[in-house]
Amino acid sequence: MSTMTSCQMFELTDDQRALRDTIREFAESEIAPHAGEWDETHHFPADVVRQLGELGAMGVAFPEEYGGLGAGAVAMAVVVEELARIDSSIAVTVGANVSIAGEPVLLFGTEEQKQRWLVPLARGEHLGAFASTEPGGGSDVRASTTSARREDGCWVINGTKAFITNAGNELSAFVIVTARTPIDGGAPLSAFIVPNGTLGYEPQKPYRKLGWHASDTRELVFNDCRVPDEALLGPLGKGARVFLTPLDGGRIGVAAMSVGLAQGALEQATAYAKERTAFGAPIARQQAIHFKLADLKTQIEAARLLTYRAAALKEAGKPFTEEAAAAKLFASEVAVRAAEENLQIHGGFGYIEESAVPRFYRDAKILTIGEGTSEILRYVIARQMGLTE
Amino acid sequence: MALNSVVLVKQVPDMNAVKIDRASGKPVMGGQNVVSSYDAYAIEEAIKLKEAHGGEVTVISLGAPGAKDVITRALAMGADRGVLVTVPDPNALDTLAVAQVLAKQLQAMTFDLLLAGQGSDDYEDNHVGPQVAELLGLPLVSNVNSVEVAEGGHHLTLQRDTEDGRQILEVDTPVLLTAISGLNEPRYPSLKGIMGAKKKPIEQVAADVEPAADRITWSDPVAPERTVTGTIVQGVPAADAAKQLVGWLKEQKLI
Repeated sequence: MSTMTSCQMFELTDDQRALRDTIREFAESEIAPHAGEWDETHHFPADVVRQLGELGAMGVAFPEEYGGLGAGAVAMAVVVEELARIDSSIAVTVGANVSIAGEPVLLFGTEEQKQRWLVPLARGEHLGAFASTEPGGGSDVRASTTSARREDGCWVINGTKAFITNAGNELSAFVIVTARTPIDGGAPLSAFIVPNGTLGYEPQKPYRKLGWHASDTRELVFNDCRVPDEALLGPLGKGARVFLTPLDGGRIGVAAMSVGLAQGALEQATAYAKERTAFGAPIARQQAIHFKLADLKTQIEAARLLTYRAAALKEAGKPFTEEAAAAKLFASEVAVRAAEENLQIHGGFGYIEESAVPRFYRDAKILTIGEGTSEILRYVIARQMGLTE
Repeated sequence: MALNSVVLVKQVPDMNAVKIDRASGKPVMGGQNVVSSYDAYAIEEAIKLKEAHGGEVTVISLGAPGAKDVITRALAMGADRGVLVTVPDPNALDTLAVAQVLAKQLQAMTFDLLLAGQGSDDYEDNHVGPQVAELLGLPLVSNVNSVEVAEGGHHLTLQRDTEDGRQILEVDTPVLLTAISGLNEPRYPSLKGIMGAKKKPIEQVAADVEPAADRITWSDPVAPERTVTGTIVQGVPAADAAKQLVGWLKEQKLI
């Protein structure tokens, strides 16, 4: 993308605005009317995800030569934000697919791997997943126990991965899995691309989660799962890098989801506060209410700027680890607060599963956990500040 | 055989964003200007025909200078080029004046098929399509809900609903048809289409005909006052309330 001017840090370009308006229109007409039902029935809406793919939502940031739009990381953040304003489950389906499945293939894949896995992903024809977290540890990748051993010219993978997005639905095509590989007496991590349907790769049934009911999250079991040498993604023994590098971009995605969820919650709360009367006037006139809304508005704007800034740095090819961590940390905590205040302002009605209010409340909490907990992110920032050793 | 289409597109206020001011009864416009919904069916049909048979889709709109949003939207959906015919105040023209301006422009263009929405979301006069056909001496088929192109192009089989059934017409191009709902499901512009739209040409031309003086004047639209109020049966047990309701419905000869 073109170099960022100082103005672009504060204002979207015409293209970015046009993409935002299209996704907003799509989300309001094709997602909003059904989001409550999908949430209630834990339904993964494959058709809508496919339609979003046809629109080009999965390829926004990928280069045109790999089926994308080449519109950059800020535009991608805007797309994810708009989806989360209506339905976080759809936003995470898109965000995870792009940031942690597509991005590693773009960064570390061979030309053949890019053609086979990235191009259809960017065109929205299939979904990818990334599996690093295990039941025994997430951010502590050294605790990872899944292994891959050499046997008859193949890699044989064994182990269990936990909390994996997009691995087991009808659009799922592949998972990138990290596993310990024995080299020179050590056992560093390597990453492998495993196609769905490979013998011994067994996605389990979906979890019942607190929120994100319409997204596909499962445990994955690898039981003597054999893949050829071509499945190796990135250099042998460098799986930690394959896992960690896209994580910063993934954090921009979660930050964008947080901004979108917070924005949706604020809009719900504002509309209700204007409409609901108590003691003869709309409750919005009460300082106790409009101060809450004014605070949220301010915090959301700050979260949005942190998010766009991290994305703009990524787009410009500059370091953004600290900025992505800060954006995700701040935005996710704003999202949790916005969802809670939205419910509080709605009073008893907010506690009834008949509006989007409880869904937003349940969907918010994962944002301070996934893609690095708030605690890990504070550590990342402190480390960037040179405070940890 | 390629089929070149021109679509007449009108920019209208977003009807979902119009609110009625309770005190004055007057509409308050909000939101952006959008493509009139019947015109979206016309655009979609032209693009589908292009995809199936080749050819080029041009959209033409009459508007104030700079009012290109609806043309850009059509280009993002897949149309190839746009023409904006400008007049200083489009709302000052009656439908015949609009049709005359458009017809004049269309005379300088070549096409096989002219498409228009049956009417517009705002005034719903349903005039402009038929008037343009008349001015250009083209056959008109209105309220079309299905288009089939015969092998070799330039011969169409069109379906239209009438009050008492369905007509199937065969017609040679050039022809003007007006589109209604049911013809197709207009697509969302793809993100790639949106990025590409600004590279497509939009020609802006000032109308070179003197619009006729107003033959129609419009008063300000006002929402009708509600003169009938509902009756709420309350404070009685449900069974009695139901009896009262049934009694009232019988009294009104509604059941």
